[in-house]
Amino acid sequence: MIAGLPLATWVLFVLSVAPGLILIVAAYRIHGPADFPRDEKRKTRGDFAPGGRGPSSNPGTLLGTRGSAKGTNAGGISRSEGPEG
Amino acid sequence: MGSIGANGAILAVLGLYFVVLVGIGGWASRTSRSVAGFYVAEKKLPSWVIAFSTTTTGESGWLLLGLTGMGYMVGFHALWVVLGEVLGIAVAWAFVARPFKEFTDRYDSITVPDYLTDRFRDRSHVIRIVSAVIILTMVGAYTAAQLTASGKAFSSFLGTSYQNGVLIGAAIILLYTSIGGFKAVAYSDLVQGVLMFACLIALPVAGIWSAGGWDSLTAGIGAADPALLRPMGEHGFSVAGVVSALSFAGIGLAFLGAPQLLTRFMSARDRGQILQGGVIAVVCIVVFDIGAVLVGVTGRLLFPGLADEETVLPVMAAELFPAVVTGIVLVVVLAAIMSTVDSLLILASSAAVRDVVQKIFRPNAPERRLAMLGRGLTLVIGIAGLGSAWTESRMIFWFVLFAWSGLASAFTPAVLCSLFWRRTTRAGAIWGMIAGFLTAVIWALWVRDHFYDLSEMIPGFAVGFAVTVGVSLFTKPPRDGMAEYDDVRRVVGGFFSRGCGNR
Repeated sequence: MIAGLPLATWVLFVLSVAPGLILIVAAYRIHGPADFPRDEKRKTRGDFAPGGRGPSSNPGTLLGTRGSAKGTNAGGISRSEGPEG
Repeated sequence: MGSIGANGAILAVLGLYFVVLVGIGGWASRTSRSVAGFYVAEKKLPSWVIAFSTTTTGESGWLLLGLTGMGYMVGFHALWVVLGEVLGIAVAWAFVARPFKEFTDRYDSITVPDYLTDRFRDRSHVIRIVSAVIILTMVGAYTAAQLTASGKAFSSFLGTSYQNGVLIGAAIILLYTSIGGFKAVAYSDLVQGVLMFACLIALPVAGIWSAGGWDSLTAGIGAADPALLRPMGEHGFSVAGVVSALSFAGIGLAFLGAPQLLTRFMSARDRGQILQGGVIAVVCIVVFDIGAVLVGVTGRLLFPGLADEETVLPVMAAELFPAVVTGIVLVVVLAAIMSTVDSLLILASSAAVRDVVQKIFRPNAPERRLAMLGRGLTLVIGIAGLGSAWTESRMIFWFVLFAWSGLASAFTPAVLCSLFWRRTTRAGAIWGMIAGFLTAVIWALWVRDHFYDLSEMIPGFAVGFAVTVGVSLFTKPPRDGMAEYDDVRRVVGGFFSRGCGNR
């Protein structure tokens, strides 16, 4: 018993939380550089900024610069648009 | 429960909360005049909003009444639910959301059937019709379960009748959802999520404090029933114990493909918002779920012998806090219920209006008229759920999971295969959806009791995946669909490999 609970219960506690957190942080580190605009990375010396939302100076990565598969892209969205509300 | 003065304070907090919700509905109505505006807020939502909206939509009254009640009944064995949900949400945000967002932006999809139809080039509309039938059936049950939770919450907090509680909850939800559409739903989810977050930190802390600290709590629980402290519960490492743990952990599978959650990924402003949102969502779910289990466990020691275990949270709030705080906790319970019901209503309304009326019967109908039709249908579906909840107060934990499993078993295998297996075909997706859905329903109604109470989610998923893959292997995928799949993978990358980020 550790602090009133069996060791196995503490192991379950850790397993409940740790793998999920590690996974999402790993995905953030791996895919962040491709998904965040380059200006944000420059600000933080090569590392992308958590919480950053970039300007529209990254041609080619912007939804608004794409046509859709059907050539309409009515929902095309530019990163230059500000946050809602 | 509570005097007239105490009830007055609770009602005052409740009134203030409803004013805020209706205000959000009115504010959001400005951008909900088109179909895309009404159903995906024109795909402009920031990370905080989609993270809270996804998490609160996935959790519902099930979290605050159902999971707390399960913690009360089985103790720390309920941590298996936490494991499943945290992993499910992490995998969904880390691996599912990004390619899904990329595909749906290319197709201009605003519903999950929209996405599947375009992904598999389904010109016969079979995917839309099958999806609409499944969504409308399950949303009816799901909404009824949430309104049941509303009835239980009002009767526990204010001493109203169960039916009046159902009625009040339904009236408020229908009002702001039909006014504001998806944007109102998403932003009210944010407000509701913040309230739930605060409540699920404050209540367990107060409960452990009242129990005399952590050591007193575990000693008291252990003295009452040592099995409540063990991870495998009363069954131990037996077949029944392992099946029970698997059933609890399997609940999290639904986060990988339930349509009401996938819609949130679609509505994000861009993929960067999804990465940020994932971190917020995982932190949220950890606090939500562990908080709920601890409320149940502390409640078992402080208030033993409750007639209905699922009232442990209202009882605890009323007994440990002054009336104003109790009012806030009631608001939080209603927030959890409403954040799910409103999303379900929008989902069902979109299945009928977008996927059936606009895409099959009236492609040239004016956007404003379709959005109005969406509001009307939202009301009709909500009233149908009200009718079902009115007559019978069921156990929320399993009633919610029935609908949750039905939706997830139908859509998750098809969606995951479409995102991660280029050979998936239209026929595979359609038959996988039908098989997964029917398996979950049949298992829940007729098989479950004879098979160690194994949750319908697991056989539903297994059959759904097997049929999707099996049928796909014997049919031919669309050639341009495979090329498009390769291009999306190049842009978003693999599980642990970086994509190029553009086309």
